[in-house]
Parts: sequence; structure tokens; C-alpha cells
Amino acid sequence: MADCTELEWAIQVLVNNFDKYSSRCCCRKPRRISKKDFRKMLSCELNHMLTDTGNRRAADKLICDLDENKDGRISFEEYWTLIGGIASPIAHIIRQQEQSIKHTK
Amino acid sequence: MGVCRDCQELTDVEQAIETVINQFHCYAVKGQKEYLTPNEMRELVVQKLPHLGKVRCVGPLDEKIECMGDPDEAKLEFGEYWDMMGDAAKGSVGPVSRIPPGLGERGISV
Repeated sequence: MADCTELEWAIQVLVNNFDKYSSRCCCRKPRRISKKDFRKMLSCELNHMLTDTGNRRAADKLICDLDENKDGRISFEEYWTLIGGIASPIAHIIRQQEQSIKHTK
Repeated sequence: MGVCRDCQELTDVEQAIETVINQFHCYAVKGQKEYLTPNEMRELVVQKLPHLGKVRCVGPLDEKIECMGDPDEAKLEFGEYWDMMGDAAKGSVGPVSRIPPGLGERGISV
């Protein structure tokens, strides 16, 4: 992986992060993250991006909404969607900040 | 909003998220960072996902790009881009399908 691109590195980090917090209940089933571990992941790995309790509550709601089969565990697809839900408003903020910088110049 | 972008020492996960966002912004020229056209998306996949995009996911990703409509006019928003990165990521989940070690830029011709 030494010669992978920045974007591939980023994707690999997010995949590895899922592996780090997920577990299997039996070897035939795909790995999933429990709600408890997911919350732990949010506070350990996303502590700069999700700083207040309002966001924490929003994250709880996201977990509930996402956990479609209601087994309380988050699949890779659900995890990816959730991180996307965090990334999307950040992308928006970055764009707005850059635009306002342009306007003030 | 509680989103703190100026803090130093972001975690790897946070840096990774920022990287995925930055790449979207770099390629979203026509849409002024708001959306990618299918052509821009294709360029991004070819240039920035040479391993993930070609080895594993060229079929699905290419098909998806084909289905997006006019290559210069259709708009691909951040959420859709993120979903496509998820498809590329799924290709690298699990030990069996991980990128083979030592597979370099030229290794793709195998």
C-alpha cells in the first residue's frame, strides 16, 4: 500500500476503522458494530468533528434510523452511510467558508 | 454546528474524511465544488483510485457513471459521490479481497 493515492489511503483508513470497532457474533455473519462500540468510536475517532452533546444526540438518532433491521448492530453499509451523513455537512461548510473568503477579498 | 475544523491534531479517521471531501472539491470544477459531472467523476476514479477503481470495481463504478446521463451536464452530488466511494471501499473489506501487497501503479497490467 506504499504507493496508494491519498484517496485510497483515506478509504483504507475508514475501512480499517470499521474493522477495529466491529466484531462477529458468528464466523459466517459479516462484521458489525454494536451501538455501544459505535458511540465509543464517535468519541475516540471523531472527537474534533463532533464536539457537542447536540451532535451526540443527533448521532444517536442517526444510529436508530440507520439500524434498519433493529438488531442494534451496524453493518458496513450503515456505517458508511453514517460517516457520509457527518461528511456531507462538513463539505458544505468548507465550500461556504471558501466562498466567503473569496467575497471578502 | 459543533464542527471544529481549525483544531490541530485531527485523528486519522477525521483526516481521511477531510481527504475524501477535498478530492471531491478538487474535481468539482464545473459545479464549483457543489457537484461533479460524470466526466469529472470518471477522471477522479481513474486518477485517484488506480487500485481500488481498476482492479476491483471498474465494472460497477463504470456502469454507474454511464447511467448518470449527459457526461458534461449531469450533476453528481456529494452524497452520491460518497456512496460510490463506499462501493469502492466494500471491495477492500475483508482479508481476501484486500489490495495485494506490492501491487504498484504498473502492476495493474497483470
